Amino acid sequence: MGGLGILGTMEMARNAMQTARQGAEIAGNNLANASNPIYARQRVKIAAAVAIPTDKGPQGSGSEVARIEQIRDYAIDKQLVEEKGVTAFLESKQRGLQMAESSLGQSLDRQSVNAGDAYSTFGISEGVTDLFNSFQSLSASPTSTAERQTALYSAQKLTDKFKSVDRRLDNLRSSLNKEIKADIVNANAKLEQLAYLASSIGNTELVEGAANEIRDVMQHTLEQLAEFVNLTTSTNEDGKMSVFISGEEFITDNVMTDVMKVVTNGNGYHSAASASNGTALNLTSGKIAGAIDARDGGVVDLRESLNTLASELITQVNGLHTTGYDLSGNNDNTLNFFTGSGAADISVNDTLKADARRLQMSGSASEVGDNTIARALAEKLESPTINLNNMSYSEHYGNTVSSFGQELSLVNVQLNDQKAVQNMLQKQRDSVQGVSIDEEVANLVIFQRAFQASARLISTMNTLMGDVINMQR
Amino acid sequence: MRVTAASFGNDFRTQIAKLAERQMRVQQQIATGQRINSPSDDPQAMRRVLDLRAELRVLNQYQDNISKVRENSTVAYSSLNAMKKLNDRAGEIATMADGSKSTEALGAYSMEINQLLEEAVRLANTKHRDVYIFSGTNSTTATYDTARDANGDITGVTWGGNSNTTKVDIASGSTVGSSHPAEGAQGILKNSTNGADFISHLITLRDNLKSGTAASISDIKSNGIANVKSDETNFINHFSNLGAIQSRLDTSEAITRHQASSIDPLVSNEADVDMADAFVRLNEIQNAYTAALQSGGTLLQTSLLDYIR
Repeated sequence: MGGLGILGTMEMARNAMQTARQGAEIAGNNLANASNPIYARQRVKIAAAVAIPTDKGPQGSGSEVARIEQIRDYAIDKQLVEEKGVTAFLESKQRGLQMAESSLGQSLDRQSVNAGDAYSTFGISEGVTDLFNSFQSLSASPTSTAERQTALYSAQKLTDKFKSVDRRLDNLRSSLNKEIKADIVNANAKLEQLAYLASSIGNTELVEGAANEIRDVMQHTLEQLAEFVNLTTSTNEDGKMSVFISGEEFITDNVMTDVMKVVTNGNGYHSAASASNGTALNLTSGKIAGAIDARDGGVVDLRESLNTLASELITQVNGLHTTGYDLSGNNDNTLNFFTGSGAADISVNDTLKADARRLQMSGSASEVGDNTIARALAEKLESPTINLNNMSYSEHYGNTVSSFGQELSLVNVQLNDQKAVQNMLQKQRDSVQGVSIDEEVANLVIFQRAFQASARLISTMNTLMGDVINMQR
Repeated sequence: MRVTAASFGNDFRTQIAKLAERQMRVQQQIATGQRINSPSDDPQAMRRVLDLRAELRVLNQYQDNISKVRENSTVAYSSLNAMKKLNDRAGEIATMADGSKSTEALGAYSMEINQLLEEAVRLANTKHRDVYIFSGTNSTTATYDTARDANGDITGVTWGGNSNTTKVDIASGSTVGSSHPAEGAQGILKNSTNGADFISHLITLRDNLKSGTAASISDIKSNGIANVKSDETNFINHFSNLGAIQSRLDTSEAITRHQASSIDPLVSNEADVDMADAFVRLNEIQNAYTAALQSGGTLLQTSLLDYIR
């Protein structure tokens, strides 16, 4: 003989009911997390219980839950960590450059009405041509104080524009700088969290199987960290994790061994370095790198280019103006048209603003109606200038705008592509690890039926047992 | 591919976000009529538009310059015209004055010439927009300062101007003189090369008529008439000179205007949106958007749950 016997069979049914219930519980857990984006669906692994030996051979003794496993694709997870870093890099760079673009204020408005400045856009491009045109106008009426005032007014509009663009770009740089500092601190917090999670996984899995939920959070934290810095991870044979940021080890075998420190250069600009050995981190992806790229790349290039334009304008206009004679036939060779030395401080000389008659537009002391200087100034607009790479003012500015536009436009395109790649990966991951409500409900039905069947087995065995007990009446 | 609960939602979200963004972009293009607004939209086109618009502004400035120069030359022309009439009358009087006229008649002629002289000096001091147009580049000083005798008659004039002309750009690399000096090698009233000296000749004529002596009458006959002639020749020369300037200005303006008007289509090519195309695209996007919303709404409503009782 042998086998389970009536009581044994009832025991088996009880175990089976437990298995089915746990299966339903896991399906319920999946359903509960259906809208949790970081959750990876779980499955109960049901295994046949140990077979018992009988004289007819081993007989199955029902089922039991072997383990609860998580369904993840580690390759996609790893890829996503990388791609999220690149996306964050491009997004942060795009944001910086977009702000610079609006700071520049060079937009196109073809609907402008020819009814004064209030109806049209005014960028540096318009400012530069307006200034040289007003010199041109002045050359046609050299003694007119109205034309002189107009020239001074155009010059003031241009200098105001230069100053406001320069100030905005400077503010932009310092706000990007502040963000960089804050993000380094945030990234350190993520590192700390990651080390804590890694060691929790180690502790949990040492005693009681897979730490599925903590793994979800850890993957999410890794992705969050990747949005700050470029990182690589490695796992040793004991399952302990190490994290590297641009080659420097920050977490060694689940223990945080280093932090990122904020390094500030002579100009007050921040970057990240290892706190333990001071090595500067060469960040290539993540939003810190993106902000640094915008701060030290596009924004600076734009600002420097405008500064070159402004200082060249100051030098050239002053150079001619100081040689001329004013309406009273006097030459003051220290009377500059512009004061200041660059885009940040370019201004129209107050002396001239107070008295337009002192504009030195004549080439001869005895000829107030001479326009040599005014014409020479007007001609500067279109003539190539050595310090502007042999371009004219308007060409140089056009070049500045288009190369900046190109940089931003390139980032826009890259970001679009990048988002498409990330979306695809996310879709793939979702397809592997996401919860399908239909699937879970179907599983629920299966577990329900299994539960019902096992309950029926108990009641059948119960009847059998009753029959056995009542046999002797 | 396995489709999960989040798949629909995520996909749907990405899709409508993309469609909404495109809708906004096309809507913006239609509302502004422009394909591009900021440098990053199309950097190359923006560059070309900036260059073209700078060029347009420069051309407009040349047109302004041309009209200013034209104003000056028109004013100079009409003054010149009036002066020529004075000279014609002076010529008539010089011809009429001879020994047969009584001293009174000659005195009356002399008074008329005196008036012509006053008028000539007034015309020589013509100002336009606060500038003495016959003073060369010394344009804020009166062309002629007069010296008068006890009777208040003009005895001589001092030239306050110079013989330089203000050159004004009317096109890239092309200039035209906008002031017309009264004296000098190309003087309008006194020309050293052809002997014209309108004011002095009038003074001499007046004084000769006033004295009425035989010597002065013969001076009128021998020199006065010839002087009037040389002044007339000089005036006529300058008429043709001013005419030539005017026609140069006209040609230049026509060319500049033509250039300016050809720039706008070029800017339009770069920057303007094809409205018909934009409307069609907006329509397409809106259809897709509506369809996405509708299908999304229906799909997300159902699940197996609805069929299990």
